[in-house]
Amino acid sequence: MGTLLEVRRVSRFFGGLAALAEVSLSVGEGEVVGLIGPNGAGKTTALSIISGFLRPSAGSVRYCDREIAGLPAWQITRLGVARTFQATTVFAGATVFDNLARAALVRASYPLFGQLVGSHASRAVEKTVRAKVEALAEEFALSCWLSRPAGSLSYGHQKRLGVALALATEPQLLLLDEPVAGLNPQECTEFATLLKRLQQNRSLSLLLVEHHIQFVTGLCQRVVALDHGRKIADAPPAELVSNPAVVEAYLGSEDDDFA
Amino acid sequence: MAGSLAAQSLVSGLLVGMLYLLMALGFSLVFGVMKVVNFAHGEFYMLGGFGLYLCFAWLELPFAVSVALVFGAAVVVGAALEHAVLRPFRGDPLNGMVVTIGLALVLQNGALWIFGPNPLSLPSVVSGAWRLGPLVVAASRLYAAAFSLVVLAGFFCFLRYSAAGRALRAVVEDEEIARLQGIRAGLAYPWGFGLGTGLAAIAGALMAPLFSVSPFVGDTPLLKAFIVVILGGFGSLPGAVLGSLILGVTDSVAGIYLSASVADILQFVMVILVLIFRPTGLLGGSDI
Amino acid sequence: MSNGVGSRPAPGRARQVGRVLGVVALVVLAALPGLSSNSFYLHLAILICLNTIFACGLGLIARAGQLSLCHGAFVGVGAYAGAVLGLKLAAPFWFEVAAATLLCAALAALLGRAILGLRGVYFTLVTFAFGEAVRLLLLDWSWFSGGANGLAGIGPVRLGGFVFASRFSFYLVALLGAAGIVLLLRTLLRSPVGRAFGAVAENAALAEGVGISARRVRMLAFVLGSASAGAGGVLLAHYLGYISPEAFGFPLSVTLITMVVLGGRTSWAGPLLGALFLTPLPELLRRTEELQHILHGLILILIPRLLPQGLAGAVGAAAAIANKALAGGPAEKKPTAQQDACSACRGVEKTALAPPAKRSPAIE
Repeated sequence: MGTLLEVRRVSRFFGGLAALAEVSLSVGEGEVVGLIGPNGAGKTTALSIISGFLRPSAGSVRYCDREIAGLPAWQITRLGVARTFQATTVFAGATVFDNLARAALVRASYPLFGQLVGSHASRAVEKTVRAKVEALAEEFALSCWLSRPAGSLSYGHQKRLGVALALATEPQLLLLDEPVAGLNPQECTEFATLLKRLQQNRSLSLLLVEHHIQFVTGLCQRVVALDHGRKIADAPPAELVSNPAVVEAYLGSEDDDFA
Repeated sequence: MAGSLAAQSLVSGLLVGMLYLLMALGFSLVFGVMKVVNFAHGEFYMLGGFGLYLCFAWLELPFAVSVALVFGAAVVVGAALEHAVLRPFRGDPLNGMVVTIGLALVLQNGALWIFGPNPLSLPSVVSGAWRLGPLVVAASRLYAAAFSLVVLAGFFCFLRYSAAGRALRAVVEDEEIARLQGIRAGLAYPWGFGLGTGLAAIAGALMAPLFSVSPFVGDTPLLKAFIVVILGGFGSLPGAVLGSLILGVTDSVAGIYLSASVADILQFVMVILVLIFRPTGLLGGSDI
Repeated sequence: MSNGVGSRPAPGRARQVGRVLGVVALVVLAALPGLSSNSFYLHLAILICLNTIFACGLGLIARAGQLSLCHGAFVGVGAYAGAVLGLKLAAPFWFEVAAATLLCAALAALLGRAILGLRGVYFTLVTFAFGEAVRLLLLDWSWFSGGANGLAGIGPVRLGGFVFASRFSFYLVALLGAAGIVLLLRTLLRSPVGRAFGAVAENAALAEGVGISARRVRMLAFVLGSASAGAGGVLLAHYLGYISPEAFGFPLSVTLITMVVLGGRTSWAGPLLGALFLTPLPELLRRTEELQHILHGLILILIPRLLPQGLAGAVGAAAAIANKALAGGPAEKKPTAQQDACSACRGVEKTALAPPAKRSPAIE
């Protein structure tokens, strides 16, 4: 199994405060890695740095043996790293169809001037985009809502649409930021099944930030734990529970975020 | 004597800067709270001038009472306008700006309709001039400057020492954190806007006896407030102080050495350059 | 609007209505001079055509989620470029248009390069300052622009030996220009790039997350929109025969924004509708200019709240409702039937837990 993502000694400071201090982690091809830690441990910061929404203050991020630290987010997405967001996951005002079509644009090559005259090529692109959107909607059980504004969907469906958006960009590595926060236990289980299926069908690599510990241990092959911006553990889930540093930093404290 | 001319223009620049500061503080406060560029800010300055005309020249109330009345009325009107007109656009600065442009059009042309285009002049509050060595300053200007100093001091005390003022500052700094601290940010919107309006109206009221009042008097102060706030940094109150003093002085000094149009062009070029290279202003934070 | 997001018309129908509306508006515009032999109608029709050209460019910029306050200045740059080339160098019309378009595109690209990284509000402020700087420069550089006196004696449009001297012949040119730009806006908004515009306007961070460069999209919109304003400016200069800097200041930008807001920012027919409704206003309210501005102000205050998608969106929604009422509610029935059939989609969607759709210019 080759290494897909290699984060090496990455730090990020906010006004002198280290949100992330010399953190290294890696994700192999087809691997599912969890990223856990208490509030403010730097999980989302790490995700934002990998996906290009933040620049690292120091360190390197290599994806497919290419340095991607500091590239703009959209370029990193084009290289095959997609992410979901904690809060704003969908284009609320656009229909589900348009949501997915916007995300599918990335893999559609089209001539700009061809579009201006409404050329045949442009219509062909439109056709492939439509087919792709419909297939994705089918896969995510969103077909009935295609013409509904995404903002009018239930919270659980919006979360699902968020992942579908990321997948529409055809990533090799998917970064998930708290995918099941705010979902009820049944929805959580469904989500885990969905992710597992997606991961197997597409040989995706996953890096997921999550508070929900059962969700992480059930899904991940390896878990990285952060505390105060530092890595305190990097082990398979079974060994994690016996790691004293993790127990003290995370499991020992109240899981106030598990809501 | 070139030296005394420069000194003279420096002093009058400081006086003008004080009035710019009143405008800019209100403008900056509104932006800090609502993240909206208030294009109607100049019209509140204009309405303040007309308010003073009504109270002071027409009803013949004492000057201080007139100013206080104008301020109170402006705060209430501003808060009411925020509630009625701007509330649906919280968190949507683009439409918020569109709406304030609309508000500016309605207010200016409403005033034009009611009062007509001709400038109304007011009786002066005090007469005579103060001499200090080679410097001569009109007493009416000093009077206006003293009044604005009082207002500014009051405003700073309000922000620093009163609970409401501290809450307002907290919202300007970070609404999310302010909410977590239990501050009712919902109230900050109408009252922040009202207070900003009140400050613009006071500036207009203080300027009215020096110049005259017409529906168009708000245009220039709005521009100056823009420039001050861009120079000093959005939402930064110390930045507004620095910006208005710089602008007041450069305005009156440049007025001597450069033609007015060149000075104006330079100002806009300066604004564009600052926005491009240091968009948070000279004293603003680095968060952008 | 009382009917929530749930009863929004299906995109297909809105599209149909939009098409009908746009075509009707174009036909009205084309037929306007035929209403009467009174040359006033012809004059009005020409102005509507010109305003449509300007408003379409601004609508394009708005579609990418930016508010430009220097659109009037770009019209002015185009008008002056065309006039100076025509008067001083006797350049042919096509050359004037090409030069003005390129000049405006280059200026917008330079400005955009510097500022498009800025957040929406800062962008708007720079465009405001730029617009004022342009007006002041035109006033100051009298060797070029004639200063406050402006430039007079700009001749009629000459193209390939033909002189469009009569009002009617000029009207044909303007109509062609307006129809062309409306068509261009339509193809652009409905193309994949148009999709990217909507994405960036609604949520730039998410757009970047799905691989769309917000910066490039905004740049494209700003350059294309401003360049089309420049091209329109050349036509304006030839029509009026006289231009002065004050005509291209902030008030012109605000008038154009009012047209886009009233007509609707999300539909290609919006700017056309806005120009159609608002251009006659000054002529109707000639005696009371204040009243006209107050009306503009009220439109800017009320339309974003009452009809966030402008007239174009409102007519589409109204048509959908009427359609539903007339046909016994097929629009209501269809999704329900689909809901039953689709076993994969579980869950009740009526009561959305999520916050309601954010009001944004990008609602499609």
